[in-house]
Amino acid sequence: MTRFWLIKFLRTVLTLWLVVTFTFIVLRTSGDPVVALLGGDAMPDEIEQFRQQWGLDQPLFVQYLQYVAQMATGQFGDSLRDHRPVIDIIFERVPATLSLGLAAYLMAALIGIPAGILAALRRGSFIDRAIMAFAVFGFALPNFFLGILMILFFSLILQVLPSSGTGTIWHFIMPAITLGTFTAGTLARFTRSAMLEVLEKPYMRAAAAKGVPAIKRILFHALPNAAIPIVTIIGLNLGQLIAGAIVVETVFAWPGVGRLLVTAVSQRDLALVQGLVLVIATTMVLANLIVDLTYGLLDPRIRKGA
Amino acid sequence: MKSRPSIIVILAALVLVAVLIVALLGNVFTGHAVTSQDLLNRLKPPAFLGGPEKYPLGTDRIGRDMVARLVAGLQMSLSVALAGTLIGAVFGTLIGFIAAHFRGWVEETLMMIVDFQASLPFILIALTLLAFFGNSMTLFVILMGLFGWETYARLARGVVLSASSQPYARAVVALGAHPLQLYVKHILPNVAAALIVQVTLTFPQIILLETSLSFLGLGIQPPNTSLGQILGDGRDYLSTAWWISVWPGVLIFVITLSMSILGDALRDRLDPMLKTRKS
Repeated sequence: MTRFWLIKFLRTVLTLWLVVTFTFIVLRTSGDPVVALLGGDAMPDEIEQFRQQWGLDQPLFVQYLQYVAQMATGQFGDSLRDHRPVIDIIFERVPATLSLGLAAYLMAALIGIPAGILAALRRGSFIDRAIMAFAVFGFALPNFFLGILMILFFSLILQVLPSSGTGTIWHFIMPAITLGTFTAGTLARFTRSAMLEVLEKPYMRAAAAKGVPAIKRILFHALPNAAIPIVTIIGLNLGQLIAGAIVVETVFAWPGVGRLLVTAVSQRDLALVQGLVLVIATTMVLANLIVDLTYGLLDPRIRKGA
Repeated sequence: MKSRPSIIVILAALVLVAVLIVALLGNVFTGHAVTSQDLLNRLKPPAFLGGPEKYPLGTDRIGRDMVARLVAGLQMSLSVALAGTLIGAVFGTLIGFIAAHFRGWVEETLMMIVDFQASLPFILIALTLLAFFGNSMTLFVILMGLFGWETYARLARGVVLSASSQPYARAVVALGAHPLQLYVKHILPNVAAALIVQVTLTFPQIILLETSLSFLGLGIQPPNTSLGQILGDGRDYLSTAWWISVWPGVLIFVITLSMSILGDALRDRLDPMLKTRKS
């Protein structure tokens, strides 16, 4: 049990260390870090102060250690454009992304899981094939194109939904659907195969023989046993969701972290890019840890087996 | 298990062949040069919606023919994705072989890098590199090649490890073959099916990555063009000239959809193991 937590925890720390090492290598191989993080028009005394602060007069290995320590404590420096601490700029944008991500997940779960269950129950039928066809469409349709199509239909032709920005519940609808479609498709597919597996189990027949009503059998006997693969997919899809948010937030001018990253990259605000990459990667790695620990809680077989 | 491919799979294959023909011979179909501007005919709708006859799919904001733009974009998107897929497949397979051959710390290090890349969405890595190194065609193609190499590396390593213990591999080694000979002539053919399946699955993802980045304005830069770039360009003209964005979007969708249908069919056919694991 303790070993299970410990292995997961160590793996998380290792991945985070790799992420920081990656940004260090990129920062160092791409050019002069002073120019990269301070901009080309910095004053000499500014440069001197920066060199000391980041230990650039020290041997490379010491610099590396210092870099890791600074990144670990969230000292990402100041933005080139805003001249404000990167960490503040990022955290201003977190709520918008978080709420959009939650809305997308909610949408994906509300559509994907019931669709998957339905497809499994009616295996081989027209409904099953239709649902699976939609799932394949969901994978292949680029999110930016889906977003554009929705703006075209709902904002420009029908004029019922706002095409960009935030503020009301209506602003959530199109970005959440655009962002959640891929996850909904994945969830439908995996829920279907997980349910198919569970439905054949002897305990399902036992429950039927005992006279448990069908709806109860599905919700209380089958679904909890199919939960592991479903939770896994939700966890694995977090990366997809973050990648999606980068594009979707730009399409709908959503003031979140993803759009911030795109602007930072196009303006080459490198301190901000570095900070964003570290914050996003850390969030993902921690979320994966939480998902791993969740299955440990959901399924005792996993934590005993590890 | 079906012995004959379904209608949908055949349709997907036909669509891809058609797309490929257009990409290869496209310049024959277009009556206008990609760059030729017709400022009197800016943002004209497609011919079937009342636009001028000479522009079947309409024109863009400076009166360039959409057909010519789409062909050029298609050629760029396909060649970048093809180059990326090949680089990734060769590089990844090589790394997998190296890891399995040397074992020990070499393997540990390589597999750590594989795990690292798998743990982050690739677009994040791509954006970081683009920001720090600045955008160039060379870097962009390398980025496309970096996408997905870790899957090939894992696959190749796994196959070598399991094949090395097989009698045939030991026989080849006992007969005095060079390790390279063992990998290229004896093990590679055994991984080929799995690798081909992986290629068909990676290719549409690379198309999506390239078009996403180009759409965001961080990929292919003008004067070059790609499907994603045209789509992104058309965003500002959605209310007046929807066709600029919609045509490239439809094209991207059709390509990725057909490719995934074909990839899935190929996987079921070549790799029955995967199929049973999946459902």
